[in-house]
Amino acid sequence: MHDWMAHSIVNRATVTGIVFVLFMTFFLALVSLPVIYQQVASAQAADARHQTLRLQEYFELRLDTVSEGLRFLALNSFVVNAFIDSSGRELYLQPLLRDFQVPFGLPGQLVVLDMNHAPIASNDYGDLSGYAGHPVARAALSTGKPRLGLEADGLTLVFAAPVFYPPVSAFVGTLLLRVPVERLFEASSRYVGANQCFLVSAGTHVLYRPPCLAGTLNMDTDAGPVHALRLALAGEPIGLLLKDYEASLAAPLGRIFLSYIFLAILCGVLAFAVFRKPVRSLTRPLVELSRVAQEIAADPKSAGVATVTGGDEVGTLGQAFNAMLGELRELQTGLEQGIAEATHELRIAKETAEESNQELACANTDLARSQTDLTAVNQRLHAQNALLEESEAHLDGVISSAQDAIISIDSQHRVVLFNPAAQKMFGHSEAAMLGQTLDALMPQQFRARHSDHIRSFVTEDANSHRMGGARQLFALRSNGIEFPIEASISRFHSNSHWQHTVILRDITQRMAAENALVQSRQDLARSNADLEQFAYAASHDLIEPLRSVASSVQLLQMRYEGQLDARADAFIAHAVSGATRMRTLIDDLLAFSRVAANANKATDISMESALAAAVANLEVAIADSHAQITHDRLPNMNALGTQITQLLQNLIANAIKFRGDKPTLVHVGARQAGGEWVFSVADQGIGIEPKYFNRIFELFKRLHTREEYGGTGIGLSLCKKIVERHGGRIWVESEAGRGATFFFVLAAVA
Amino acid sequence: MAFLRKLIAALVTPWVIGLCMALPAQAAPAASPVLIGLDGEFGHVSSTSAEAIRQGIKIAVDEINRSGGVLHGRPLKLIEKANGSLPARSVNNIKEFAAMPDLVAVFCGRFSPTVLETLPLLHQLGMPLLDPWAAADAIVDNAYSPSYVFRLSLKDTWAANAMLANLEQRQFKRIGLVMLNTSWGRSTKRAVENYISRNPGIAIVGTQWINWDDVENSMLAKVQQLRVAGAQAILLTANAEEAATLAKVMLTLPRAERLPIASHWGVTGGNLPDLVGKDFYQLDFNVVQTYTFIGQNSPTATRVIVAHNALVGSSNARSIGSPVGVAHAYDLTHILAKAIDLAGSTDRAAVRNALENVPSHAGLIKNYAPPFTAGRHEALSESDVFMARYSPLHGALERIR
Repeated sequence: MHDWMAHSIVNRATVTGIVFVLFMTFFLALVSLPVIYQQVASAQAADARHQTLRLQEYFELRLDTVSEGLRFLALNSFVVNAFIDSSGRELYLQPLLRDFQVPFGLPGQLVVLDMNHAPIASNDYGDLSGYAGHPVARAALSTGKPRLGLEADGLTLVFAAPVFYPPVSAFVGTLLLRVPVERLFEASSRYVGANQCFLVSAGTHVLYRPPCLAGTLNMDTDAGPVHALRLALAGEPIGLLLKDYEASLAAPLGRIFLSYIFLAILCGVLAFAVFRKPVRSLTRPLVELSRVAQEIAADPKSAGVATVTGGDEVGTLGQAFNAMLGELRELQTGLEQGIAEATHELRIAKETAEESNQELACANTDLARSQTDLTAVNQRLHAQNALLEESEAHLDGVISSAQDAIISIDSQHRVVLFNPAAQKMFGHSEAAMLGQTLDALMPQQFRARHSDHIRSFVTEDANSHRMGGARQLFALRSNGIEFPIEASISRFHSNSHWQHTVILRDITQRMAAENALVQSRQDLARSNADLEQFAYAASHDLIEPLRSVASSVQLLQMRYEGQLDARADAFIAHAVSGATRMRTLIDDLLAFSRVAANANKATDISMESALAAAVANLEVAIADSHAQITHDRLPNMNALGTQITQLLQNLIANAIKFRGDKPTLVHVGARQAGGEWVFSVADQGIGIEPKYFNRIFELFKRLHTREEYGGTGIGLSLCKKIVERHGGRIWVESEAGRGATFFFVLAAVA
Repeated sequence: MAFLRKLIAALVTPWVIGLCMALPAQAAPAASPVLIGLDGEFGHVSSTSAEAIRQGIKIAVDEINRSGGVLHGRPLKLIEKANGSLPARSVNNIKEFAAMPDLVAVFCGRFSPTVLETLPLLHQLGMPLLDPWAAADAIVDNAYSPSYVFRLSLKDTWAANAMLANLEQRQFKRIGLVMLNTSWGRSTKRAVENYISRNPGIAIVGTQWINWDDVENSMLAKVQQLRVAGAQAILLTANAEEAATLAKVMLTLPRAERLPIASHWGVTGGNLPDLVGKDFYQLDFNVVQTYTFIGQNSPTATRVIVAHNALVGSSNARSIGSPVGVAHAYDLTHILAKAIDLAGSTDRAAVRNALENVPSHAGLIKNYAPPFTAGRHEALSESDVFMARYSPLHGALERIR
């Protein structure tokens, strides 16, 4: 041991540290043991009290849980039903009772007693007569609350829950559950310690005597601490005694003493580990310097250095040693680098010569590739020549087969091309016209103007344009007859001079057709005006006599209804209805006719005002139908105010009429699209099938019978007419059952 | 001698006067009432059946008493006890009735399970039971001999036959049963199964048992199970409360999914339309009946309607909410009165025997000739059964023709 300590500074320092730590540990133990003694004694007492409380809560939980389980069983509809259905007791009540699991797996006898306290069912088939008039059942039924009681022998606890029957608002019987006390107060080791024992009693009865008290009648309260508590249960105070046996401080204090010994050993080991390491770190650099010096002495080329760090004295020594080694090695390294650089330059010169040889070989390859490209260019030139010849042939074919006359003149205005269509149109042969001027082809009065036109065209920038402008052009056939034409002229530059080509089309037949069309339109407009005038006059003239007829039959109805026989009343009612309907029809027709009559009185109007007027006119219908009218911000338009009001009124009235069986929301929208305004009237009504989109705008067209929806079939026709008179258009977008949206575009009235 | 005459006169005169005064006192027991018991479901929430039976008995008792009573001048008197549909309470009531010396018979109420549980006690005590409503077959078809039970009402077998015939006639061939989980429901189910065994053209697709505490959610699940099983119609055996729950559930379904209901008549023991609400009349709901006051113009019917209106303050025949209870109890009371007179005493065994021997009775519902015999304790027959519906007009039950 002595040699071991003398051998190393590290060993001596380690032994010193261990001795110090052991001393401190024993000192601390000596001071703390009395305090720990007090703490252990106090904790033991508190733990015993806590244990007793836990045991009490555990027993109370068991009793409450059993009682609640019984109470819930008493609410079961089969249990209740059995009180009014005696024949069902075997069918469903007995199985239910047999299947009932008493909480905590306790055994129990379950008995159902009726309102006379007579047993009517049980979970076993034993003799039930002993339960008749059971006092606990009586108490539960009379109070309407669960009750708990102890049988006279003190061996069985009885739970009772009353059964309530809502249809008569009364308690009609009780459920009785008998549980052996011994099983109820069995406590697991989780709640009772190995050295503890408890006793449950009620009055003079010992309800539960655990195995730890076997052979003794009562608990020996002198042998150790006893904790007495009471279970708070309905009506039955139950006592609980818990006693700790062999409660002693020797065991815990012994365990603490052993812990101190273990701690001292642990601290010694730790001191050995903790002290030895720093002392070793102090001596390690000296050992390292010694090792490197020995290595260099053995091999002068050795690259080793001393791994000494830190700023203390030993660190400084190590650094000075390493600096000396570094300078020696640098001198050696300088010599070796000079030799390496010279070798490198020689290698670079050799690589440059090899690259020059490779470039010469590449130049030869490029020359051969250029010769190949030249051959390919020649081949392409030949191909283009062939295409050019084909194109000329194609052009000749086009000119020969053209339906229009094609005539080319040179800079001296002499004909150089006169195609077959020109020959046919003018009646001159190509041979006759080649080298001639165009004078023979145009009437005398156009010849001078034509020469001026050709001259002016030469100075223009454009290479082609239509001839004549707004004027009608005419040509002259060989037989002297003039005919209308369309002509266009073009020019191109060829062989240092200009050439002009004129393309002419004979429009004699088209002009005749256009003239006929203009004539038809004039006739149709005149006819429509006559018809509208007639409809207006007819409606206007019809309204007076009809008003007279309607008034008369209404008077007839008011004065004589009920005085004539039933058939007469029916006839009069038909007449009133027909006259009213006809008047509505004529009013609508008159409005329809007035659209044309007022078409020229457009002014600047506010669409918002027009909509307000339309809504005001429909006030009653809107109120009756509970419809809601909303709108976007609407612009001012140049239009006829009364007709726009009529238009909006008809569309909104339409939306209300076809709303279906629920109130509808009608929205009037407006958006600008280019120079136009697109208005919309959207509803949530019955909608329209797409196949009727056009039909609904026709006059007198209806999609429903008059019994389903009233009306004349003129409203939407009137809308269409108003919109068209304003230069606009109207259409509908809809889907059956999902509402409809009418759109109309308004332009300024012409 | 004169003294002797005076002495005799002094002794005899008070005796004669006392004798004269005592004669009316001796006649008083002859006028003591003959008692009839009613053990009904009074106190059962929303039930009107016990009240209807009480009204029928009272109307008849008034008529009988006005005509001189029974047993040469003794008035009939009704004693009521409530059982709330509880058999145990009914047993207590029967015992109390049995302890009354002049009580000759007991009327029961609507709830078959309650009646069935009292049968042993009734026969042990020798107490005649008159049944104006409870319909379980086993009430009359019991094993007691002699039987003390006499019924003027329908029985479950007849009800099942009528309901199923009605459904079959309306081309409903796949039937779902909704049965109350009592002996009444089980009795009706047995009757339905007997009908099916004789009529293979109609089939039961499923049976759902209901309890007094079924709520709409549980009832809806049961109806949907029957629908999924392919039921085209429902045959219902329930009281008014359970039927109201079923009706409310049916009204929550889309119209196309609602099933027609043919119901046993327990529903008429409460005011079903009021329990459901005005939408009740949207349902196809028919119910078994044996009598309706609507359209009756016989003198007896007119007399009963007038007396009923005076008794409860109602206005017409449509106001009689549970007509079978009133009509059955009325006729049965008259038959009992004849039996008492025939027996000549209030001895219960004699009255029981006399009930089997009343030769005839021209009653409200029909002419009974005779009402009961030794081999037949049912006063009505299957031909008296018909289907009715609640009229949207005042909710009165009217016969479907």
